[in-house]
Amino acid sequence: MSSIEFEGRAVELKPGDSVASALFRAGVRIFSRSFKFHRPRGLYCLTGDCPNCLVTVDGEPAMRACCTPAQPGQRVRRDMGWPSASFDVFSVFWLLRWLLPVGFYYKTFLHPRSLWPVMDKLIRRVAGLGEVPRDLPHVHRETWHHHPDLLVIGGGVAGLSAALAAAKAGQSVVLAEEHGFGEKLAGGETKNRVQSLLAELRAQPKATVLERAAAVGIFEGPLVPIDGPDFLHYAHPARVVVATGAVERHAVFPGNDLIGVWLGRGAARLAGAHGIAPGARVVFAGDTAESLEHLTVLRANGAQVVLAALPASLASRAPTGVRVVVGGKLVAARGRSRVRAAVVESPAGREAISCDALVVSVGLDPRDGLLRQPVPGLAVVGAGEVVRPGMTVAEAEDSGRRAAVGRADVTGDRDLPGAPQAGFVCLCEDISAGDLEQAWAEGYRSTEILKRYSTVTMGPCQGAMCHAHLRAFAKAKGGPTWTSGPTTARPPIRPIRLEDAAAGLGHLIDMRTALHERHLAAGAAMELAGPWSRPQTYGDTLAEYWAVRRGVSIMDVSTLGKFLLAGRDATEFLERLYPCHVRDLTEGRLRYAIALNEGGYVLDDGLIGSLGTAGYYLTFTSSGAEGIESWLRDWIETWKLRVHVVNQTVPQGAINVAGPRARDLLQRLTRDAIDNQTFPYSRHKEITVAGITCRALRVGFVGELSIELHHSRSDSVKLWDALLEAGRELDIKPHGMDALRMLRLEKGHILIGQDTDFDSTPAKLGLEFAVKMDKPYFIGKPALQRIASTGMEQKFVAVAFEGPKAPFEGAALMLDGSHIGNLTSARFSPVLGHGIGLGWVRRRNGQFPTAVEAVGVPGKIIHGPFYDPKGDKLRA
Amino acid sequence: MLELAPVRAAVVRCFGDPRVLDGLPAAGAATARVARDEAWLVSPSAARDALTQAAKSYLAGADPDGIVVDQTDGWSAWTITGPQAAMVLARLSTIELPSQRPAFVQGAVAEVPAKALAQAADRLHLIVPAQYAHHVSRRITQACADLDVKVLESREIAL
Repeated sequence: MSSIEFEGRAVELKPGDSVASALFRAGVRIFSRSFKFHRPRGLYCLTGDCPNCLVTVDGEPAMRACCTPAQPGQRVRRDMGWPSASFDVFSVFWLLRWLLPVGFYYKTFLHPRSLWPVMDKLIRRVAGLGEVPRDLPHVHRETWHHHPDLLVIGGGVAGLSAALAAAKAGQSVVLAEEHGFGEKLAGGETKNRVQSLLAELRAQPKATVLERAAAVGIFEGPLVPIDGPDFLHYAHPARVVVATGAVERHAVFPGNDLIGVWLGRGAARLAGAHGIAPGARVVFAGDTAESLEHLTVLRANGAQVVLAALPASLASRAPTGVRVVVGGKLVAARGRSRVRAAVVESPAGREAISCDALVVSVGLDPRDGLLRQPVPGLAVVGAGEVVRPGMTVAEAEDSGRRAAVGRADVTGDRDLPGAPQAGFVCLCEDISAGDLEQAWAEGYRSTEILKRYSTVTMGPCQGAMCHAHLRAFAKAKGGPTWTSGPTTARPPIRPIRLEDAAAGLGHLIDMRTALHERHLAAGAAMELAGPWSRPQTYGDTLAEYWAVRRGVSIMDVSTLGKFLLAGRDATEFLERLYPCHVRDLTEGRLRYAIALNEGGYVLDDGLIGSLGTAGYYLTFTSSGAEGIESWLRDWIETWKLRVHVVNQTVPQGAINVAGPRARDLLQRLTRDAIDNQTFPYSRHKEITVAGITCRALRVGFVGELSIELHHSRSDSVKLWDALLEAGRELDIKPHGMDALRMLRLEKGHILIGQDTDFDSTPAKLGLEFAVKMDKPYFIGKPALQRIASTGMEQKFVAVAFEGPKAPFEGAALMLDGSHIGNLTSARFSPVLGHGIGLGWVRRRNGQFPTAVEAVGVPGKIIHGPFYDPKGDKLRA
Repeated sequence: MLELAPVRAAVVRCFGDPRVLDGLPAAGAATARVARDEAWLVSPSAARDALTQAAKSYLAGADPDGIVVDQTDGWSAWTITGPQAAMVLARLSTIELPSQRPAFVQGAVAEVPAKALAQAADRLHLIVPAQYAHHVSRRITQACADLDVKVLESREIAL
């Protein structure tokens, strides 16, 4: 015998059970506690529209028990109530309801402010729908994109007819049905038609049928996310037909939220599909043709209907053997937490009939949340009962077929219920008719602001139960027409797990160089530096550092942004782009350049190398390449210049050979002249190293003799291996990011993004040498001219700390006990034997400080690099 | 079943006047117009030099400002074969694949920039920047796990 576990006890399952039907058969009547007053709530609609059966299933809160198929072994518990949903201490709020009127949360807990932290915790403890699970396994959902001609939302008669008509016309169609097809129907003609239409649709080659897949919203595009059991589907259709049908009207009367009050479809489904009578003594109140079907199903499945209140138009067709009160109106349900009696009023008078189930079937309201979402102009139409509730099967088929070809039924003003007088309008938020009256009296006099103030329609059902009553209330109160118009529905219209909403996302996308496997094989600890996966260290950072300072080392710098720029206007383009001169850059020379935005702030930095008639070779920082490419293309388009830009960042690998013995190493692998005279600092040339064609760049980021070898990515491994092999006698070691950070800091080189801020000008950074204000124009020049006249309140400085301790990066810089700036970079310098740092300081009394303190370590502000200030080593 | 084969493919990028690129000789390669002023030539990798030279010769005469860059090293490619080959795009991309073949589309696949050449109903070539190769191949096998993905040995692209 299969079973589920409900709050510690086993509950037997029968074939076809939902969690709700299984629990109800086992005697469970209280399924939830209401959001505000903690009133006990039981099964009500069984169509997934109301909030009453939200439970936690296998640790997942807010699951609709009526829509959740029961699976053996499931663990189910109710979401709310302390110490339990059956006996909830917080139900005392109902007795204190005079203290908690509508909008009370806008008016209370404001004073004294010191109490708020306590109240905040209490409110969070009391309110809510279950607990967010903390220990569920991390699940990655996948997405599935569809591009149909037509998306149909809703698998009833109208939706299936629309999909079938379009598919037969040769269009591609996706149909999404939230539940199992026809499973919310107790039986009969409608269910049979659904099954036959479905079979026909499934046979169409261009039709895709998604079952148990709920559309959660309609966004611009149109784009419709559909939450299915296997994928989060994204539909990008040309047109959308919404055929979500109608929900049985939630009747508002005193006692309408008592356990034992049912909507007709819910009670009939419980009886017809699961063979369970909703109660031993049933009072039935019906007002629609459909209600008679419910009455018949209930009686056929053993329910004793003790009274049926029906209008004269239906009374003659009522099943025999039922006491019918012709023209009887349901006016109240009585009981403390469960219904004990129904009060019916008729021309003969008012009568209270003892019962334990009151089934109400007094109308239909469109399930039109999705139709109330789209922005105007989208190709979205309704079909079937969502347009006109109560239509026959044949009418629904016609409606669907018309919608498929764009001839949608016109949505007129809805058949609204009477204005609510007493009882709960909104079951989700515990909003009564009296609450709406009070909100109106306080001046909230349209549906939209009544909604915002009272939160009516804003609960889990998203207005499925109460939207029509809100409109009826506003309409009855009078005023301009717009005061009673429909409110905008917000996605998600159906609950969606966070993991589903994030389907297809959240994957780590690291960029890897061609040497990635080599780094791993060498035991490198990798880190994410911007988007790139790079070696942090190969195990001994200090040894890597000293290899650069005293011997020779190599580093994979393939991540550097690298661009080829060509075309007849390339020079003119770069002259406008950069604040340095470009026209005088002869072939073979390199020039340090900074990139500014229109505000005169530094975006990035790098090198410009002239390739003669072939154009220019530009480098940028590793993290900047992608953004810079867009930046370059943007200005090319803006200026309409004949320039082509080619991002060579990935096709070109790069290895930096650095250290006093770098030339020794390379001379073992090349016949080209690389001595200092023929190939001095700040030059580039093409050389062949280990048989590989490389563009060699004399650079100096680490402060030693350095030659970057830019080469085809497919040669990276061969070149790397050759350098290591040839350098073995020189005790070569590759170095990682940790060593690089120490080396560049000793040279005082900035890291864009770490040391710079959004408003870092060249002057603040001490990079004036890279800006030629005598140029007629460059990006940022007008801004720099204006900024120059305002004075500088903040500047970037180098700080030499006393002793071996280096303050942490980000540490506050203090002057005489007051904050005067912050460190952006800091390290211990092995070659200098003390801590060093870079950071920002402000003026004090008109002067920039000359000494500061960081976390108790005194330091002096120095000018120029900490290491080799004249640059003799890198020019060696 | 879905067969996923890493393939070696030459990628030659040609930049020039849009009208000049209209007449770019394909020389046996698949062509794709990726931008107004840029066209791609894709072929088996052995043809990369000949393809580059042919394109340079053409552009040198037709558009002196045009440039041709062999970027074969910068891209990774796969051939995806099977009746549900197009499902790779459906699972990993918002790109709509036209029904006619051959078709060329470009956009984000698995959240990275990509080009796709749909050669036949059951054959698709996917090209992404080489730095993302590991990510894209992993995501294809994850997102299409239910389609029984079989990863094949590396081979030359067959166009």
